[in-house]
Amino acid sequence: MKVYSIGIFKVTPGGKPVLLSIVYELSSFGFFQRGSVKEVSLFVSRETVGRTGVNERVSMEHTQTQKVCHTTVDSKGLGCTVLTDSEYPGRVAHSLIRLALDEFNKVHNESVWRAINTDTELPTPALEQLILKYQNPHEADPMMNLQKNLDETITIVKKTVEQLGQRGEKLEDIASKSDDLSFQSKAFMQNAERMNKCCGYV
Amino acid sequence: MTESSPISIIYKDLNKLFDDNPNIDELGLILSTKDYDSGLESKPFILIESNKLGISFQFVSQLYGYCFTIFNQLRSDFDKLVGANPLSLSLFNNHNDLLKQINDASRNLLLVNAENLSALNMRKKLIIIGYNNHMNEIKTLNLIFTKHPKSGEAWCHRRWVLLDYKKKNNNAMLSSEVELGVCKRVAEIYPKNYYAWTHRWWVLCNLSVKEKLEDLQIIEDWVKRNISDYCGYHHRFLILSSLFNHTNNNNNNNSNNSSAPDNNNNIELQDIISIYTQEVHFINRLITLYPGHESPWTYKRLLSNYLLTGIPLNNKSNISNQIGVNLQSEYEFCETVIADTDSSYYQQQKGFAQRYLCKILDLYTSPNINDTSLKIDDINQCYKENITNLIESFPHQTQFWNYKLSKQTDRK
Repeated sequence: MKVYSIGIFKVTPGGKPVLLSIVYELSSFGFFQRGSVKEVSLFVSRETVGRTGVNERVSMEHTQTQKVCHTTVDSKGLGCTVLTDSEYPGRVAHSLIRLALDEFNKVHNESVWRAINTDTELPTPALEQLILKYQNPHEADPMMNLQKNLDETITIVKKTVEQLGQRGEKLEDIASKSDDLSFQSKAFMQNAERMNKCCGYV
Repeated sequence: MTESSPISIIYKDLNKLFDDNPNIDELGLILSTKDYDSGLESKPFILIESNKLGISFQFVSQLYGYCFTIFNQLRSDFDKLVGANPLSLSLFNNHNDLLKQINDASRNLLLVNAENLSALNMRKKLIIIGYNNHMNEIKTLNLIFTKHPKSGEAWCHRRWVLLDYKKKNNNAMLSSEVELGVCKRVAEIYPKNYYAWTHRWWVLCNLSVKEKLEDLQIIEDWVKRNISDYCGYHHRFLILSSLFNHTNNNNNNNSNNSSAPDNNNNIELQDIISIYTQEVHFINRLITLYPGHESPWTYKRLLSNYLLTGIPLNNKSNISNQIGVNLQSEYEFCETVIADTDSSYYQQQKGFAQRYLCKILDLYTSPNINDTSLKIDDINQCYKENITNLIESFPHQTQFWNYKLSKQTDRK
C-alpha cells in the first residue's frame, strides 16, 4: 500500500507532456535504487498521462513493475499522475489526484504554467505533505467509503499497457527510446520483470 | 596476478575505504546513472554521504575472482598456523596482520556473494578466537543485507553469532532492537522475505510477553500498509498463539511455588481474551475496508480455526464465545459481506466469504466442536445452502463442492 510519486504535467494534444512538478516517496527502496525508481516513475507517469484523454480517469496497470499509474487530465490541459503499488485502492488514488490538482492551482497561476515548455519543477509544498499523508489510505480520509462503488460520476477506466499504446506499441519499445531513462534504469526495468518484483539485481 | 596489477590496487583501495569509513551502512551496485555518470567508467567505487558505498558493476566479477584467490591463500596460511592446535588468539601473536587480511578478504567476498560458506565459516573462526566481536559482525551483516536481503546462509550466520554471544555471556541477548530493526527494514526493501520474518520470530521467542505484545503493536501498522502480504498476518498469529502457553506455564508455576510472578512475562486470561477480541475486530475491519484481498480472509480463517479448536485450555468454547467467535457471529459477518453488493471487487469478496463460511461450517459439523446449543439439522441446512451458493460462484469447481457435500452427508 504505497504511493511512490505524484506528478503534475502540462498536456498538449499530440505533444510530449511537460513536467511541472513532481514529488517522490521512496523510503522503501535501497539508496542506490532510488535514482532508477525516480526515472522509471517519471517515465511511466509521462507516457500514461500523454495517452489520457481530457476528463478521462485512467488507472494503468504496469504488470512489469507491479505498479499502477492513475492519471487524469482536466479541461485546461493540466494532467496529474499518481503512481502506486497494485494493492492501493484506485478510488483513493483518484481523489488524491483531485486534491493535488487543487493544491497546484492554488499556488501556480494558469498563465505561469502555460508559458512553460521544458521540464520544470515548480515548488508545490502541499504535494510533499499529501504524499506522506496518503501512504495510509484509510487514515488519509477516514470518512471516505473507499471500498464502495458509490460515486457514479467517477468512472475509472482500467487499462493495461498494451491497450494504452497506439498501434500495438509496447512500453518496452517506448522505454528503449526514452530520454527519461538512463542505461541503469532500463536494466532496472528489465530486471524487475525477470524477478517479478520491483527491485532486481541492481 | 602481481602486487601492482590494476585489480590489486582496487582491492587495496576498497579495504582502505572501509578502514577510513567504519560507518558504511548501505551497499549497491551501479551500472551508471545520470547523476553519477561523470568519470564513473574509470572509478570502481563511489561513496555518497560518507556511508553509502556504490560499486561499479563492471569491476564486480574481476574483484570477486581476485578476492577468492587471495582468500584461499590466506586461509591455507591460517590453517598451517593452527595445525592440530585448538583455536586461540595466542597462535597469531606474530601474525596479527594475517587476521586483518582474512577479515577484509572474507568481508569483500560476502559483499558480492553473501552465500560464500568458506568466508562465513572463516568469520566464525575469527569470532571464536576473539579477533572480531559479535556486535561488529552484526554490523557487517546489516551492511550485507542491504544488498543481499534474502541470503539464507547469511541469516543463518547471523543466528550463529547471536547464539555464540548468548553462550559466552550468561544467556544475555545481544541488542534485540537491532535485530527487530533490521528485520523491519529488510522486509521493506524485499517484500515477502521469509528469512527476515523467521528471524524476527526467533528473536521474539527469547523475549518476554510484554515485548511480544509491543511487537504486535508495531506490526499492526505494517499490516495496514501491506494488506496483501501474508507474512505480517502470520507473524501476528505466532505472537497471539504463544500467549495461551504463558498463562498455562504461569498457572503451573504459581501452584508449585509462591514467589512473585514476573510481571513482564505474565499475562492474565482476561487480558488475552481482550487482545483476541481486538484482533477479531481488526481483521474484520480490514476485510470490509479493503475488499477483494485474499490474505486477510486466510488470516481470519486461521484465527477462527485456532479459537474454535486449537486453544490449549479445557474451557475452549467458553473462551471463544467470550472473544465473540462462534458459528452465529461468523455466519452474520459473512452474510453482511455477501449482502453488500455495492462493495468494490464484489465477486471476489463474495467468493472469499462463502469459502470462509464453508470452513467454519466444516468445523461445526466435525467432532472437534460439540456445541449442544445448536441443532445439527440447522447446521446441515446452512451447509447445503452455502454449497449451492459456492457452486453458483465457482461453477468450474462444481464437482469439488458436490464432493464436499456428499462427504458431509456421510458423516451424519
